[in-house]
Formats: sequence, C-alpha cells, structure tokens
Amino acid sequence: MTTLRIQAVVVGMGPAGMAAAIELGRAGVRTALIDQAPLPGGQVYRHPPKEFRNPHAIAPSRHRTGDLLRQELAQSATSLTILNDAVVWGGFAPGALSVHQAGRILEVAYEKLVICEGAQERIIPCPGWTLPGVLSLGGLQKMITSQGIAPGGRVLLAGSGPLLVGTAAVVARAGADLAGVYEAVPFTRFMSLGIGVMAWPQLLPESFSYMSELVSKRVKFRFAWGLRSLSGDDRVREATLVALDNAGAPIPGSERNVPVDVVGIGFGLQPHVRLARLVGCRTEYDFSRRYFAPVTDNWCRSSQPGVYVAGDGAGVGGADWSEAQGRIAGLHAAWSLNRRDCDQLSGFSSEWVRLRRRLQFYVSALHRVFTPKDGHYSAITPDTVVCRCEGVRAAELMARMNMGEQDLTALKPTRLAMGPCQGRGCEGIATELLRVQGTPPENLKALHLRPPIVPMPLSAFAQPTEPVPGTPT
Amino acid sequence: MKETPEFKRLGKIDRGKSLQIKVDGEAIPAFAGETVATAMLSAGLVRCQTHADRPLGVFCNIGQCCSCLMTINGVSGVRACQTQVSPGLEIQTRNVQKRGPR
Repeated sequence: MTTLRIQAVVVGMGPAGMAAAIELGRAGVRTALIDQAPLPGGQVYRHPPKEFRNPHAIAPSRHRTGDLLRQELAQSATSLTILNDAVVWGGFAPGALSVHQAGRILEVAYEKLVICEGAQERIIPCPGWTLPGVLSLGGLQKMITSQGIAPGGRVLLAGSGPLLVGTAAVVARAGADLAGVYEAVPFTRFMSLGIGVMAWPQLLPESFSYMSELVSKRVKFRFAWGLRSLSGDDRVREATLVALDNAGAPIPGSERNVPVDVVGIGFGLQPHVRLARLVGCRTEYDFSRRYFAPVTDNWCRSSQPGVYVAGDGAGVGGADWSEAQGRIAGLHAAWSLNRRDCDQLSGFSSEWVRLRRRLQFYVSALHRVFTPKDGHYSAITPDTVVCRCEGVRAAELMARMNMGEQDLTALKPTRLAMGPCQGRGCEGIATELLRVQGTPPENLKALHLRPPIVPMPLSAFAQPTEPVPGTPT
Repeated sequence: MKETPEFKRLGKIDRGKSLQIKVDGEAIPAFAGETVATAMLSAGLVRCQTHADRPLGVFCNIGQCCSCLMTINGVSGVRACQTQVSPGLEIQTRNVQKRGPR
C-alpha cells in the first residue's frame, strides 16, 4: 500500500479547511489536503461543475468570498499536496489516516491533523418526511445554485433559521412557484436577531437582498407555523401545516392542508462529527445548542494530541466564523511544527482571534433564536420514521425507552443507525427523543463509530498500489 | 413511468450538448457536469429506491443521507447525488425488501 508521509493533513476544504491550509502553506509546512469534491470550497462555497460553460451564472453572491479563498490557497500552495475526490475512511493507528481516492487506498502519516468536517442539517421529522420530493433545505438550495435546476410545481419550505430564509430567496429568484415559507420561530423572537446582525454588519447586504427578493415576489412568509405531516403516494402531494405556540408545540384545531409538489425542510445546522470521533477526540452533548460537538480549546485543539477540529464541525458558526477558526488552527499547527516563539504566534493570530470574538456575539444570537424548543419535537408522532435507511419508527424507539433503555447504543437492536448512512441522519433525532423523555444528561453520548466511516466499494481493497501524485517516489 | 412536475433546467446555464443515460431502461437526457440525481429530477423521476414499500428519493444532496442509493453500471448502493453523468450510464432503482437481521 502507498504511504504518504507528511507534516500536516487538513481534511475538508470548506472555509475552515482552506484557511488552515493557507496558513500552513504560507509557513512552509508540507501539508496534504483531502477533500471529497473535485474543487475546494466545501458546501457553502461549492463550485458549480467545471463542465458548465458559464458556471458563475448561477453562483450566489457569497461565492466571491469563496473565489478569494481559492485564489489565496493557489498562491500559498507550493508546499501543499492536494488530494481531490478523496475521502478519509479509517484511522487505524495514531498519526495515520486511511484514504480512498479514485478506487485505491493510501495511507497518510501525519504529525498534525486539522479536521474541518463542516456541518450537516438538523432535521425534525414529521409523518411523511421520507417521501420523494421532500428535500433538506440545503439540498434543495444546492440543486439550484450548484446544479442549475429549479423545482417545478408548488414548492413549500418549512423549518427554522437563516437557511430557511436563504433557500426561500434562492427558490424565489429561480422563478419557482413558492406556495409558502413557514418559520417555526415567532416573529418577535426572529426580529431580536437584528441585534446580532448589527454586531456583524457585513451580513446586512445579504440579509437585505434575501428580504427584498421575498417581498418583491410577494412570498407568503408565516412565523410560528410548522409542518404537522406530509402525505402522498409515490411522492409528496400534500402538506398539513399547524400554528405553533411559544414552546413550539402545535395548537390543536389550527391545521391547514396545502397541495405541494416539492418540500424543503430543516431546523438549521449541527456539526458533522465523524472523523473527529474516529480518531478519538472527546465529544460532548451541548445542552444549549442541542447537538454533539468535539471538545476544543481556544486554539481549536481537541482532546487528542496533535489533532485540531475547526469550523462548523467544532460547533456551528457559519462561513466567516469557520474561516477565522481555520486560520487560528492552521497558525497554531504551523507554529508548533516549526517551533517558533510564542509572541510570533499571538502576533500572527491576533487579527483572527479578534474577528472570532466579534462573530461570537452574532453566533450566540443565532443559537439563542433558532435552537429548536422541546415543543417542536412533538411533530414526531409514534408512526414517524426516525431512521430513513432502516425505516425505524419513533414507536419502536419509545417502546425500548419505556423498557428502561436510556442511551443510543441500547436502541440499536431496532436497527437504528445500522443502515448505509451509519446514523448521520437519525443519531441527532434519537438523541432529542431520549432527552425529551427525561434521559439523564450523562447518558446522552454519541454512538461509537467504526471504519469505514464513508460508504466505499470492496473493490478498492483489491487494487494494486500506485504512487501518490505530486510526491517524490 | 413519468411523474410530473419535473425540475426545470435554468436557461442561463450553457450546458453544451446533451447526452443520454438510462434509468430502468428508459432513456433520459442529461448534460456533462450534472449528477444522476439532477438528470432524474429534471426528467420528473423522484424515486431512487424502495425500502419495504417505502419510496425514497434524493434528500440531503451532499452525499450524507444515503437515500439516493441506486445501482449504477452494475454497482449497487451508489449515491445518485454524488455521481456525475456520462454517456450511456445505466441506472436502476433499488428495491430493498426488508431490514437486515436483528
């Protein structure tokens, strides 16, 4: 098997990963960058396909920040080895990762590892949410901004958070028939976010362009409303909406049916913590934000020596916050490898530490306003599917909980988290069900992960070895 | 087989010449750079697999949820949202009869 020996590895090429790689590259550290996409950018700055002749025709305005980062990365890339279309699927010894790229496996041995896994969407299911035609908000948005296709028929969006407003604006701009946007948070709480935006005025133009798009298209936008259920045969056909009280619980008798063809759902983002768990970083449940996140310090160091976790994968903060985190992690990793003095480190990083502190106010406001309330989880009726892959319904999990089972592992006999996505979708939902049922805090623990942490073909294990491109053999 | 309404390709993108892929034997148009999921949605096909009578289609669109697993050129369990189209690609929807052993 081919082994690549290198000083530092950055996994994930979103804003945090690009920023970390830029700082490592600038310091002359030999660094490998591993990313699943053909081009750097992550999800937020995902580049439309190279094959489209005018890809920028659909890219959102935010994309310019991504282009600047990509340029900066290209300029500092002399000591960087870029592995695109590659995924880390295992880590079997300290300081080593197993990577799958183009049908073959290679080992990467490192001294420092910067994990920038990004976020995934937080979903609160309701009956019928697994029907075809129902997409996550981010998934629907990427269909438009990255693939250039717009949903036909009547589109309905429901959930909460900036992604709901952003996706609504993108759907409206694409000329789709937007039947309504339903934000679970009440109007007054939503508007209190304005104070947070003031602390980060760079967001004002973006927020304003979203709002003006929705106003000019006369989009129906309702606060304190949510989905009760979705129904259909081979695809979604109808949505039942319900008014929500201040605790997020449905108000009986307020239900309303709407015919739909495409539905977008989502309650914001949560860290995507896979590789960090695999390499043994300590992960804790965050009770105020309601998700699992790796424990990190001010330099983004995890509980594992030499391993950093930066960006949304360490706690959701958005693209600008993630870039600041990535810079700080990259600078610290480069400093500790090059044994430079401490003053230099604090000098180089002070700009990013200050930016992160400013953003913290806005990030906290976002979580305060949009973190789901317990009432929102009452959309999960007993017959609601919790695990999409294995079709495990809430009633099966509740039966186990009523038998006294109080942690995720004990729910696995239902086949929860046993399907191909390995619990990416259902782990967070089942955790909230446990919490709402009164499970003691110390029992809220993330599932144990085993490699391969991404789906991969068995044929990859049978390939002959080949030298790694871009490295001396 | 066709289930309307389909997703619409935005006219401002210059996608070049179309190519053809086959979904369950039916030829549908696609363009270089598109994913299998994009070509299918644009043809009005929303179902990628059926799990014990429960239809599933593309959901997260970033390769995490595994709801769009299909059989592509004979390989089972490939994510339609992460697979780029190429001329003559043969795709089958999957049927998973029941859950695994307990």
